Amino acid sequence: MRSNVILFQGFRKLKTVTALAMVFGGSGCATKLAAADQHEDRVSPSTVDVSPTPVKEDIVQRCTTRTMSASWAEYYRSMSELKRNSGIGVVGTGATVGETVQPDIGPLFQLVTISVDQLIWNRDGKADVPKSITFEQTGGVAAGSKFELEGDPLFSVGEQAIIFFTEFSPGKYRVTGGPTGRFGFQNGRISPVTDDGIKVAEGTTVEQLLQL
Amino acid sequence: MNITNVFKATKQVGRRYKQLPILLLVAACMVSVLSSSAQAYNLWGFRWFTTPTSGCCLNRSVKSFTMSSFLTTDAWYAWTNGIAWWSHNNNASINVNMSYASSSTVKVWEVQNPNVTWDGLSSPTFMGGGQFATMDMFLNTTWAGGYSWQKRLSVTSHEVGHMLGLDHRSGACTLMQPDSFTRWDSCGVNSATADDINGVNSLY
Repeated sequence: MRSNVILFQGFRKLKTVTALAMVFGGSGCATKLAAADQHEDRVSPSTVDVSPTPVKEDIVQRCTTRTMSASWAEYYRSMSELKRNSGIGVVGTGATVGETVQPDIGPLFQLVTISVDQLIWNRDGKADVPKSITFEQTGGVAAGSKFELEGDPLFSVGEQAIIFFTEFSPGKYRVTGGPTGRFGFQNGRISPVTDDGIKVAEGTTVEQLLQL
Repeated sequence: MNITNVFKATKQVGRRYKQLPILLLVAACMVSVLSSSAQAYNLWGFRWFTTPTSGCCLNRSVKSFTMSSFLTTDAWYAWTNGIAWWSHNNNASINVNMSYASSSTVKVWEVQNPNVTWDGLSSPTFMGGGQFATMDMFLNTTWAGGYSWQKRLSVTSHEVGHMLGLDHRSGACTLMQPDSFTRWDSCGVNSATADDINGVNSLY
């Protein structure tokens, strides 16, 4: 009887640990709570202490989005400016999102690698455009919370996007213009990441986007 | 002047007066739009919960580091001036001090990161009830290092605006304009405008 109780408690703990791992682990936090985040972008986590017997509501409450805010050195509101300042523009798909890194000095970040599906802009006629591009995105998942920049949501695995890049040193790329240099691309539909950048009408094609 | 000309002139005056109500209506609309945009600051949704010491204001000290260890001279002056401007502005209900306190809930930093295109960043943590718990503010000298001191000041003052609880505001020449080119190069703003001050005063 006693062993049954211990076994039962063991299963309960296992379930709890599994739930915690699903929610807190890696980018799972961001993925699992994507729907909730759509309703409440800026939620104040009530506490970061872990209670001994966490329940689902507690976990959900802790895995909230913490918004950071930036001043942008590059920020484009016209396609001609964006193209002028970008070496290449690609349609790409998120292949990997690395672990969240907390540097000694500086905000959290993740390294994102996208596979290049299509080259749509090549300002300088670069011959050796890579098949995949790795870049840094500010933010990540830590302590059960998703940290991201206001107006610049975290990129995720499988997500397809149009991204303009600057090669700032050989083989090293950054997204040109922060959130204004990135567009969601789903089933042929282009949607700007931020409302404050280049305006894209419904039904705009990739070719039309480049002519804006 | 013959009678035909007099008739025409009278008709024109009549037309003008007919348009007067329309002109007045348009003018009233413009005044309404302009006055509403003057009150259009955006708030982040969080504020510092502090016990007022003088009956009104926010009092907050900011931890900095010595020039020799973490902050370069340019970054030091940018943060010092960005904070001092807010502190010395009698129109804003705040008192922010730069100090060397061993611990503080607000810290300023300097980073050099060419992988990103932000030149300044504010990273808060929160307590319950819409309150900031801590705030780390970063100046990215990969970009800001090449700015004039006035433009660099526009970045640090902007970040201090976030620290006080202001959110971005696009489409107007205010300190909380999200990009430094528009904020400084186009608008010439590197300190809080009346709109920014109204926003802070609405919080504290």
